Amino acid sequence: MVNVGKCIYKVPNGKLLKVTVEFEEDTISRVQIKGDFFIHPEESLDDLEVALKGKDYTRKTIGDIVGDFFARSGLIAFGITPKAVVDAILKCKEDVV
Amino acid sequence: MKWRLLLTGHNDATTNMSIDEAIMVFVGQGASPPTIRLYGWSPPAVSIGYFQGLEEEVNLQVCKDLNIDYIRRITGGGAVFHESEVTYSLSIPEAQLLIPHNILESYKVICQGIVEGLGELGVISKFVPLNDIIVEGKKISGSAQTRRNRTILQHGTVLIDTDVEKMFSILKVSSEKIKDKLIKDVKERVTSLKNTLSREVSFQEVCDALAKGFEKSLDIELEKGELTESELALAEDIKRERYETHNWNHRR
Repeated sequence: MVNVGKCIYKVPNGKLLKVTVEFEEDTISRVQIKGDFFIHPEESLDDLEVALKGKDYTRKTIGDIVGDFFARSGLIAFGITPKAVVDAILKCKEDVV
Repeated sequence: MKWRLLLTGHNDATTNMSIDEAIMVFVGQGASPPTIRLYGWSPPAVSIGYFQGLEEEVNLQVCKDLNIDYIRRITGGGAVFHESEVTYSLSIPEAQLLIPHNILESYKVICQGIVEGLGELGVISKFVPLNDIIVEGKKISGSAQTRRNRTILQHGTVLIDTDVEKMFSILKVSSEKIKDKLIKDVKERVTSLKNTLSREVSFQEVCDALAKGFEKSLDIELEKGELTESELALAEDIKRERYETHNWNHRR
């Protein structure tokens, strides 16, 4: 069974993240990260969402993938942090619609 | 240094956003000079940031009922209701010395043009990072920037008047229960030229003031120009292939 978790997460000193996670047991099927933040280049966020597909829904796995994404050379972000993205994705597990 | 000034008047949302993008392409290729464009929106429109969910942020039924356009920008940031305002866009290659390569610093330099422009109207304002300009603690202008093909595009608004109730009928809020409080908060946090100057302010006088402001702050000379045939043709392509498509506007 696919569960859908949603959460709205205010980044400390930053913008508002609106995250949706579809997952089956402990595996992520799909993540959408939305909000009024800035990421340059903009298209790169799609890569993060793709990279999370099929991965374990655990802090360790998500933390590594999100950390690698924000550490990409040339990636610049405002109003959004790796920690906020990880926290918001995990929080979706608690708020299943 | 001479830049081009484009006064394109009021257009619909897809025309406005495709023109900004087409200018950016030609400026990036060196085929057009660095450009400042001043414009408005008719019909009024709501633009959302690149990363926002359209249906999450915008009440599309209200837009249809009130004849308000909605569009996704290529720039990040939040949802903006464009009605009584002057919108500016600035495009310049990254490889020049006037605007810093660093995004954070470049916002400050570009927004200084707005601060100077507001000064021309007798309004004292201040830039607040990342992308706001405030008057007496209240926001009067917001901007958003993107970089593509080593070119800077920054666009933003200067509010002439606000209709917060109308804005909140179009923008969705997370909870109807706190809507009244949100309306009150926005009224306390946002101002406009009409509000701060206590008089009617015309689109044209704001355009004139902003043009002077950019000339002063960037130490440039703005020469009135037109969009080239090639820019107009590309804008039509971008409009058809991006901004008029369901795929683009509903992609998140």
